[in-house]
Amino acid sequence: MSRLLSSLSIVLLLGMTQRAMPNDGIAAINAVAIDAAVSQINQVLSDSWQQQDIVPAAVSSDAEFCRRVWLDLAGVAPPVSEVRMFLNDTLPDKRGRLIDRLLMSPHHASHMAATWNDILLPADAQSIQQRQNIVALQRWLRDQFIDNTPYDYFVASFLTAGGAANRGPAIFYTTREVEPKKIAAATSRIFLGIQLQCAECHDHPFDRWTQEDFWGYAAFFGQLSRSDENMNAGGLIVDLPDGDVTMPDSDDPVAPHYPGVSEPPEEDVTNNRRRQLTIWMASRDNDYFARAAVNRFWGHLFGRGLVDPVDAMDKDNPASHPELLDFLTRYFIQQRFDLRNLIATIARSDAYQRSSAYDAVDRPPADSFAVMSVKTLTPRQFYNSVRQNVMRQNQAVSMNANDAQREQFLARMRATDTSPRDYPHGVMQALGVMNGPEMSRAVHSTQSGLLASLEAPFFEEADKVEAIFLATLSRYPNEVETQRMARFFAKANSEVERGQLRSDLLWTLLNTAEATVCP
Amino acid sequence: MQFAAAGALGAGSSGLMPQIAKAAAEIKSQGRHCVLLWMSGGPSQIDTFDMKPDHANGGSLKEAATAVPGLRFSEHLPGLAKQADSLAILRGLSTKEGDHERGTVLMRTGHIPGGPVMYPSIGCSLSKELGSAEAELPSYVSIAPSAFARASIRPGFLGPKHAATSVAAAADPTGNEFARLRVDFLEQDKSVTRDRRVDRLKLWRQMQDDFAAKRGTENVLAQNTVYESALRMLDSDAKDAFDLSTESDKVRAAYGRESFGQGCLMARRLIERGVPLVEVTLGNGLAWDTHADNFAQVRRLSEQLDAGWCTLMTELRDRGLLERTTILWAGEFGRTPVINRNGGRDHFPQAFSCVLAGGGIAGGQVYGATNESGMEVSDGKMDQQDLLSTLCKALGVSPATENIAEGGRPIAIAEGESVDEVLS
Repeated sequence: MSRLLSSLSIVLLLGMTQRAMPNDGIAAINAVAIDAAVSQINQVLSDSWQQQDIVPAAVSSDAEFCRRVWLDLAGVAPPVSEVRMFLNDTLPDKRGRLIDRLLMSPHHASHMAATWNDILLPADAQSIQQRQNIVALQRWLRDQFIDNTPYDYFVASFLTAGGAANRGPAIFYTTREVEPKKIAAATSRIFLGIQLQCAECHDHPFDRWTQEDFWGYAAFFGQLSRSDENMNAGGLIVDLPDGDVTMPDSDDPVAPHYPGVSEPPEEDVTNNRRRQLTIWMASRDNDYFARAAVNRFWGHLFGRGLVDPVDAMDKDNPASHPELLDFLTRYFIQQRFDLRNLIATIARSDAYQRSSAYDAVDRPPADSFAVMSVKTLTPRQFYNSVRQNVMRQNQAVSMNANDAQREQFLARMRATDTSPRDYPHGVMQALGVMNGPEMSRAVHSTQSGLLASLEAPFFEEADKVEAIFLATLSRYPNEVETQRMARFFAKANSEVERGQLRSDLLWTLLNTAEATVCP
Repeated sequence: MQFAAAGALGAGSSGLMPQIAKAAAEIKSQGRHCVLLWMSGGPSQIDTFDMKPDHANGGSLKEAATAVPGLRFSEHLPGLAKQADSLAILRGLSTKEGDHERGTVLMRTGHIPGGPVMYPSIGCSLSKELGSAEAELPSYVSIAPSAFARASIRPGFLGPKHAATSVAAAADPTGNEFARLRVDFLEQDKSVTRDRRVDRLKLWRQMQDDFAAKRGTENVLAQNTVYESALRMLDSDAKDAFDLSTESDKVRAAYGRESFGQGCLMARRLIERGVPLVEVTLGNGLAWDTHADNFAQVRRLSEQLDAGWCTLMTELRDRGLLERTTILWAGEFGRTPVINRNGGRDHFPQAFSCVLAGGGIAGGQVYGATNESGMEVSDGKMDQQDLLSTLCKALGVSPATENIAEGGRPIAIAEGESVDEVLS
């Protein structure tokens, strides 16, 4: 096992202080590798479409792509000026350039931090008075994404975090009551993509995991403890020198061991078991780790993992394209767990460029990736888009921005554990979107920054309609809609009435399914 | 059952509009209802349903006889005393949470908060079982929830479509007015005329159709379905259930003028129209949190409780609906039997009372007991899971009914041992 003592573990032994230099300019450095990987993805998928007689969707329009890539990478719909600029851009590789630019933007780091915050924290944590700790975690995560910390370093430092310097990650442990079995279940699900906790009470029915695997894995978290310091804010996390876990109905301590690995774990000079775990966990020798990551990021972009759900990569749940998953896993490891590089690659693939519109009756299944999934926006994506494009408040990109109205909206709309291919909301949420204070503000003639900006006399009515479409749907009205709009506005006899109709149009578009999804 | 004879005759004679009477008859054939009377702050068991007149802990409030021989409780609940044969008093509740927020989550979900699973509130689980997706009115209406309760009336892993519809209460009125109750988001922007609304919706439907024609995916179709239901509710007469101004002042006054009483009246109107689950909170904020001046406050709260609860049971019985409606009276915990130096009582989850009443309940009895000082449960000890399991059974819902939580784990609505002695 000593060969496992890779450069990573050495850094770990040094106390996780080093960080890779941030990449500056993804495509510039890795253009050749990315191009090769993109062709490989395209090849695997087009072969599978051919084999299954699937006619893939047409290539998405520039407007559709622009909205999609903004929402997926930056977490917010494109600003109106950005859509116009993108549609007018005539230079080559404009889609690739937009992908790269968004990946380097602070929006991206914020969006990833918010996304990972939801992945890491139990559903319940959000509702408890943990605001301060959640903010600390988001800030910690955001720093990782700003630096583009390689994923193995990112996870290893997360899993060894503790003490006063790491108040952010501590909430991950405290919300699981610092209980080894709960932390084992969460970390294996999130970072290995496996449901190891099914083996808590008996050997996993559908997989290779034994009860010993689960408890041997949980034993790595046996030293964890909550210190008395900072108790008001949930406490700090420390590792005690000892701390054993026992299996149910037994008093014998279980020795830590890597699940599915027969050799004993790596020695750690400081006898820190969590560090012992990360030496194996976040290494290239642990295939589950990279697979789970590429599957999760694929799922982020396509609304469906190659294995779905992304955290149930068990034996009885095979990948839709196993060879593609294998390829991306190897690629991600070769590219030294570079997340921006991985996202840039997947986003450049032919499949990601396809439209989500499909003419034929028989829409290809989601797991063919021959047509883009229509992804329901998270409440945060929806609210941020409306805030940016319609309310037009000045907003700091930082998630620190204290926005009480947004918090209320998010609390009302919060859904847990849903697929972006579902619409999780009910009648009350719909009524809240239609009649709630956010909508009132967004469509109110004086409070809506968008509507106020359209009061200017030198705009034609058609220009104003166009601006409302761009702000809500990220596209120009089509021909039919233009005619419809002309009729809609024809009944107005005064500027006041036209203003009311603009407000009505805005209300209407914000409540459409189209405004609620990423195309 | 003592009120089995009321039947549909009650509905016919109570002056309801025929279609409501018809709807009420239909409900009788299938629907069950549940009313949760939530006592925010933690009501004092020893000053209400488990009095200790012979002990120093007993305090200054007096006990009185009820319609059921041997069953005694506070003299400030005279209306309930007359209907004691509909009540089953559970005196052996005991839990481990003495914090308002955590205790509220515990009592409502059956589980301590903060774990990896977001457990739904019992009201959400039950309304999911009892309700119908096609109904014009929501399946779960929560009236005047306190801030603490708001966070705990949550659908958890059932998803937001099972969330409660909340009805906000303005501050309790002074003088001869009635408390005003308002449904969140049911009021449309008044400055938008009906014509404009019609035009908006026409345009909206065109946009929806165009989009679904090429992107008729599950989420897009579901968004449309949910919106259409919401629009139906905005347009429906059923939402008149929320309008209490059509009730006579005499009826309104009988329920009590405060938000609890008016909420109980709204509960009756909602049940008449088929809503399966209604929750009414007594105690704006944490009114039952009587750390100081306990006795005067409990007396005042008991009067409100008695008027609202008692009138609700009477009116439901008159309409033949009580036998289909199970009522649970509960708060997040009880209060210390020992009186503190401020004449108050503090948080006490070790031994407290809850009450079940109405349909499915064998009334006129006490289950469980505390010892002389009220400090410990001496008989019939039960926890929140046992209580929730019992409530499920009273409503004809199997507590073992499973829903799927995060990560595909099936989780039962409640896992306690039901107290079958109080079930009819």
